[in-house]
Amino acid sequence: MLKDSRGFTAYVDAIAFMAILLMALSVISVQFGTDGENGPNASEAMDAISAAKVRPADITDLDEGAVVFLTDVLAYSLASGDGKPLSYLEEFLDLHCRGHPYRMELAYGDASRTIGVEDVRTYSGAESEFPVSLGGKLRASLSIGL
Amino acid sequence: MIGSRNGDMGFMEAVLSMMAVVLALTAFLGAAAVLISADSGADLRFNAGMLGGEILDGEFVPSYEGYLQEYLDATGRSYVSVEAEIPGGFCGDNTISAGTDPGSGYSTLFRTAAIGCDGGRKVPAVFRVMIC
Repeated sequence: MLKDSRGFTAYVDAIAFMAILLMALSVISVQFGTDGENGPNASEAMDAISAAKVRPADITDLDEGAVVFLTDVLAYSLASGDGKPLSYLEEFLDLHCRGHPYRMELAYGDASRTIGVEDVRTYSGAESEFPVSLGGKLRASLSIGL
Repeated sequence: MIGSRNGDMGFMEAVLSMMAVVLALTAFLGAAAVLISADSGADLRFNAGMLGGEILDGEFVPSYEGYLQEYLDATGRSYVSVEAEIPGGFCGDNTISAGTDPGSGYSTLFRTAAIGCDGGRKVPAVFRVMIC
């Protein structure tokens, strides 16, 4: 307890005022925030990948016309060694990350592959598991750097 | 002014003063929030959720053409352009704009989403929005 109670009163007032003013300014800045770039978001990319449906003939060497989830095709790619689906995924991630370094790890059963750079200081990250129609799960992990 | 310790409650005085300040500033915050929400009938930010479309016969058909002009009218900005890039060769890139391009001073935002394609497919697309 400070000996000078008058000074303590002023100090506490100032602290409370500053705290509430900071809250008010942050609320106002969020409301009137500018339209601007926030950096690529890993969850957004993962959501797009999980929702995507393609024909295997679109991005593999298979002559298969049935529409399946992209994640099923990626699992096939890991199991069979067909690199075309991974090239497609890399093309998409290059677009999404627009120059930011990224690392995507895919694993299906005993097979695993990595796309992107080896070492990324993660700015935005996401992990997901996708059920594969033929059985098992595809595990995906995306890290995007600044 | 001659200092006097009469009426000096010490720590209690400090707490009461702080409570008075907190109440006054909370009332101010509440009034400001009510005024802001009443004024902002239209959101000043570009709604990236409006970006979408579908691929028909190898051509991208956007769903946001009308929204671009509405955005300019609502915010008073002079120019907005949206470029849609779809990897994998499903269709070519597509760029739509509204307003007058000033040539510089843009702010940029991006959105990634899955869009519809022929035959029940959904493919990832990356939208780049430039606003001035």
